[in-house]
Amino acid sequence: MSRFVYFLLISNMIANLIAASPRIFFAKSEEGAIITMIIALFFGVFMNWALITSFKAFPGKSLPQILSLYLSKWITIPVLIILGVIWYVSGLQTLITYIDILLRFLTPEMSVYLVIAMFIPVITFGIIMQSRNILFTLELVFVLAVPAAAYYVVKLYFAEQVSWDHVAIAMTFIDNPPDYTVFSTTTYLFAGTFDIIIFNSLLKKKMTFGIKQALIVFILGAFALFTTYFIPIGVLGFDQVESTLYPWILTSDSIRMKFGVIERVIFIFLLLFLAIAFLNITIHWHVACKLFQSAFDIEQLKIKWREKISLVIMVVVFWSIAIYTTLKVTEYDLFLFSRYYFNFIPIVMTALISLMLVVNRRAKS
Amino acid sequence: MKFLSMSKWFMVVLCMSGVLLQYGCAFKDIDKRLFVSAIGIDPAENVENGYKVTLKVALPFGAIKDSERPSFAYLSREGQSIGEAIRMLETHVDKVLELGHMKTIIVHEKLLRDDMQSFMDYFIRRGDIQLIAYVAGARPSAETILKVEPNTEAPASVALINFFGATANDSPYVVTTYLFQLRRDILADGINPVLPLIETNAGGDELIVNNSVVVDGREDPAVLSTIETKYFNSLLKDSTGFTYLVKEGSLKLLLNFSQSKMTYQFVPSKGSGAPRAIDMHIVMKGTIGEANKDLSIAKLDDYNSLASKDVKQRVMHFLTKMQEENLDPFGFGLRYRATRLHTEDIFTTWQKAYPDIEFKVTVDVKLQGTGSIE
Repeated sequence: MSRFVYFLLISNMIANLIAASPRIFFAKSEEGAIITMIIALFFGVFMNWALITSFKAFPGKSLPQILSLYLSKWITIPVLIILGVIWYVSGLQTLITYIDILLRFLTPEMSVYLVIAMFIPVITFGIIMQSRNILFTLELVFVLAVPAAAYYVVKLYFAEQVSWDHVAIAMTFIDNPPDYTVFSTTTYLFAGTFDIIIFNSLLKKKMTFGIKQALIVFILGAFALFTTYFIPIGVLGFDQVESTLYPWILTSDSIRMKFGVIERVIFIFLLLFLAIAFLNITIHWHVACKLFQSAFDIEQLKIKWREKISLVIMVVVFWSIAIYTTLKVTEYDLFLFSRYYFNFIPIVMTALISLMLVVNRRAKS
Repeated sequence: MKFLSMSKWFMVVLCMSGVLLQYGCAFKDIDKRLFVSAIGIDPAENVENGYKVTLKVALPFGAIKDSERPSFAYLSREGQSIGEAIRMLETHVDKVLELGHMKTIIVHEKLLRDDMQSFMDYFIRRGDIQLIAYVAGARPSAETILKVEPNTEAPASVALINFFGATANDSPYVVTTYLFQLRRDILADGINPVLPLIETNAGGDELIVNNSVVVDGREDPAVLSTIETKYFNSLLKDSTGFTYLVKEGSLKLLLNFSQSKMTYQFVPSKGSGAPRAIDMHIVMKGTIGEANKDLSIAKLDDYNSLASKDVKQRVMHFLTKMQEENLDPFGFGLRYRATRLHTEDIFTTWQKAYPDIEFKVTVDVKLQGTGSIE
């Protein structure tokens, strides 16, 4: 696999650490969260394998290009629109969560409009960038932010504030029957790789997904999952962990680095994770934007500056919906909608893979 | 191409105009803020079921050189709830009260009951209060303790903070409890949180922290004595600097332990799964710090067994005392829950078993030398 695919995967995992998924896990902590996570871990790796393998035959081609080659318009257009909506909502969900977190913990006195206004230029610029530049930005942020983020996460494991007794209590619930919501939320952790439906046009080299790659993805997933689920339980206690709104924010606030540059880890933590989340929103919306563009087939339109005009329309629509929902949605709604959204993910993934199977078969014959 | 460059210009102007909106410190300058360094909570005298909140506010001064002692202002107000009292206190000062740097919450001894949860709630719910703030009990009242300004307090510092968290004071007699830890332990089944108890001397110019309180639902919270606090700290939290005096006949030995480690297992009774006993093993390593007679290095083994016997007795006494009061500061119940596969009645089984549980303690003292002289 290209290194960019790993970057996409990891950025999605990190952005989810803070967003809605931990809360969903904790809500089900006594109803089979652990066993489901183990099952979903294997499913996620399998999905990654299936995706990479199905794109193997088409190096340097994105999903819209592949579909238009082998399938009729009647299938291609709805598929692209549905995928575009899914990717848009994925970015939107992260955006709302982060605006909420910023308002609550970093600048409680700032107006919500101003916080949104700070997001708009940066993310808009990200969306209209070329795909190639997005990947380079991704790499840059990775070099800058991920080592530090990884350092803090690893540090958590050795912090005396983590009570491993609570972690062990959480583990004693291993024998409960599995739960679908947890399954889908875990699967979403692995959705980062699915960004290649657009970025594959830049990945000209043929990709392989063997045992080695599977092992890397599995270990990354297991580590991300273990950290997401067990560390907040160790810090906040098992019995009431489901009552916290942003478990990870409270967790990072509970960690003290006695001789760190800043004793309160939360500020460094928030900024680092914010950078990665910004990136994640940008990537998802960029993918959504490209999907919509090819769904409406703007290449064929005979208007001057069609590319620019479509981008402007897209950006305006994206932000109108985003601003409206950010202002309207309460924390409870967000939790509920995220659950519905996550429940869709495994179905969409499976459908996409089966579609690719059909395309692969047609391409061979 | 022209459009592209125009859009870029537009972006640049947009980003730059964003800078104009920022005027530092989230719209309030630092000289418009008052930094609260500690909060004290007492039962209200005039409001029924209310609280009296006292804030210790650090006052700014020009340069550290100019000020020989730190200067503080104290604000007090009674109210039905903590949040309400703090809101009203905001009307007593000309600046914004900034709670983000508040590091110590001091609670009156009598308030350390189960309803603590209700007022601790305020501190957790507010995003800007640190979860790594220290929580401590106060005797005789939180207000008195807050108003103590020890002679050792340096300018631009707060003595209350230095006691905890092992940055300055590292004594095994000082228990450190963070706000998040208190919340975790209150809400968890099978452990009772332990808070340090801050006292002052008769002159009111010293802070003394060497006792601690076990928080439980009862009216009168159980206070751990100085010795018990030391044992609690070194057994559970591996504090260093544990000293121990052994007396045998005319021989007096002061032992310095640098390491102590406690491990324990539950012994299930036959038939039912309920635990019958706790098999505890304590290993302590250290050197002899002081003696009133000449010591021989060859006789270390004798001193070992002497000390072991004595430490065992003290630990047993402490454990049974906690058991009689039905308190569990060590979190045995939590560990019990953690080591069994979950069932509905796991915790009730434990609760039934704990009062009759038998402690089997073995202590292994390993003296490594007699200090720098024999």
